[in-house]
Amino acid sequence: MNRLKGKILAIQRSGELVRADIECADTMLTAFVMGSAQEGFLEKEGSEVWVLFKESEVALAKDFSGQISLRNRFEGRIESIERAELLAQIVIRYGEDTIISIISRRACDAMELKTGESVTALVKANEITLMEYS
Amino acid sequence: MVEIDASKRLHSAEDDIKLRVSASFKRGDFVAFFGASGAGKTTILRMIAGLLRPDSGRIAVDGEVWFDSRERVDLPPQKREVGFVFQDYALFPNMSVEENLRFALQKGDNPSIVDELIETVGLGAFASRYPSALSGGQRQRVAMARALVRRPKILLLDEPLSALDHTMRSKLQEELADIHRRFGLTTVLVSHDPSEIFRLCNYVFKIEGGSVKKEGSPSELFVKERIGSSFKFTGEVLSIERCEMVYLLSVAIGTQIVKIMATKKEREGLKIGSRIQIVSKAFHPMIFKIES
Amino acid sequence: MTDAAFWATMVLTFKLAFVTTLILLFIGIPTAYCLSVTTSRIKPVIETIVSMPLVLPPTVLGFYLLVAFSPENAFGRFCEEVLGFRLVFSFWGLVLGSVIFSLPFMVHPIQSGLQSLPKSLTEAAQMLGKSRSTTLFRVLLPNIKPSLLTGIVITFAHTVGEFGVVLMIGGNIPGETRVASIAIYDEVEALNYAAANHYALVLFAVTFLILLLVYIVNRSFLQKM
Repeated sequence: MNRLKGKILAIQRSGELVRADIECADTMLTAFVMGSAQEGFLEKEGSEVWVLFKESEVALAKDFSGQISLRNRFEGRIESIERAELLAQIVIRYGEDTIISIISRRACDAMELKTGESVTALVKANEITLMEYS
Repeated sequence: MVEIDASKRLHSAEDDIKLRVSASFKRGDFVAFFGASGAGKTTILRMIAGLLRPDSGRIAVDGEVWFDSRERVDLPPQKREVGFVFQDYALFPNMSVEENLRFALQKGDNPSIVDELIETVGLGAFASRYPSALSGGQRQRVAMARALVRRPKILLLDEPLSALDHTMRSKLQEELADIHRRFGLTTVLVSHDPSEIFRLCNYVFKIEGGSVKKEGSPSELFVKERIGSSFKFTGEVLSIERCEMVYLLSVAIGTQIVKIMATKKEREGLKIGSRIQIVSKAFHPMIFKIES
Repeated sequence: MTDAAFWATMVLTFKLAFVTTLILLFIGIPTAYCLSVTTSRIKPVIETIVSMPLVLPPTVLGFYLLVAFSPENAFGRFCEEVLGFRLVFSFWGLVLGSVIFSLPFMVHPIQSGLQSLPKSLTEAAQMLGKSRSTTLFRVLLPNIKPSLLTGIVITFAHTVGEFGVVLMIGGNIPGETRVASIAIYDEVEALNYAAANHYALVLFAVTFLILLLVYIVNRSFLQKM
């Protein structure tokens, strides 16, 4: 599980559905969560939260251009690559933190990913879980 | 309107707890007292029913005082219009299903209600059977029907479904909800099962350490957790298998065993037998209806 | 020994047992019920008094009853002068003695039967608006039939076999207080073994049949439950 510290900038509600805009290092993130009104930590804009997402939900892009619906993009540098038969695990240095992505070995090879290269880690807004910072 | 404000000192094996409950709800409500066993839930029901005398306090239903320690009012159970479904059902073994219900008739009652209720709970074919020849679910239905013969103002259910298996449980939960609506009852349920309360009740009192710690609708009480996701299970790790750079955990959750993918970091510190919490977001699950 | 004397003794024996059992049924049920529900502090005292005949030598009880019944004393005089009958050396004196002496044999089985029933049965009847007596007679007693039967039969058999109390307060008046157990003793004293055997054999057979009946009935009852 990737875990980054973030700060809530804005909250938009539509019934139970909540869209949170979060500042995480120098990146702006969007998270969709379900929440009822009691979830105090989602109420206050400016409060700190943990941003959580599973490694297997992180997609990677190289030399990224064009349009894509994914709003959450982390620009980083590959720190290490571990290749297995079907899977590949890529560790990306992102500021103080690391983000880990597990993708298919085939994709990893096709993209010719190498240590030290710049990549963009992409996470869908609904894959992000927010947890009260403590 | 049902108003309860009662205290009672309870002596249990571990320690003495002081029960101090204050709760009120409207006619027609289906409320639950929820809490761990030994928290005093059943005691509350018994005090409403008049089977147990509070040390002090007041219990009133629709403005009629049933108990008031200051006014020295204490209606006997016979005089309180209450239906009680006991955890062990308490069917009279010497009477058939029909006789159990008939026994509940008061002087001047129209006996046709007995047949009506037997039909309502679908036991027409079993009316002449004795309780010993009935299944758990059937016994529960008889206990339910018998409690309704007097047309009670309040129906009290003491963990009514705890002895039944899952399928029977959910079937009877539906029937309970139906009966509650049909008879326009005010129903009070004691349960430690959040899913049961979710299905049946519109208001919950959470009992902890002898008093009402929280109250509200089931979703207010149970859904609210610190994490902004919807699924939370606790399970026990049965095995850990390595598969390339990830791990597959076999986890027992309730009666199910599921395999879950874990990354190396997540796997750290886990061993067989570890208790874990599994969280999944509301967006993830795919939903399939189970055809019954 | 004439046949008439034999039958007079046998009839007396069973009449005493029957009357005693009947009276004890009326006393035993309320007593057992009260003991099974009370939380009163005097419960142990009542239980002790009820159980005393189990451990007390029959002659002790017989002796005190004899003294109490005697017209020399207040109770005996009251009976004789006000109520107009004598208890000592009479059939009704025997009945009273047997009732006291067999009390635990009726109360104990019924009490433990009542205590073995789940408390929720009583509570359920209460919740259905039923009084204590309705609950007792329509819910509780019908569900402890084996205990009732045991109480009745043991009381009956015990009264048939009682010797000490009967001898002390009844004496040995043929047709009035001479019961089978005393007759046996009497015949043996007179070295009349055939007559003693006659009594003993009948008691033996009757007791056996009664107990057999109880076990058969109880078994079929339990199977039905």
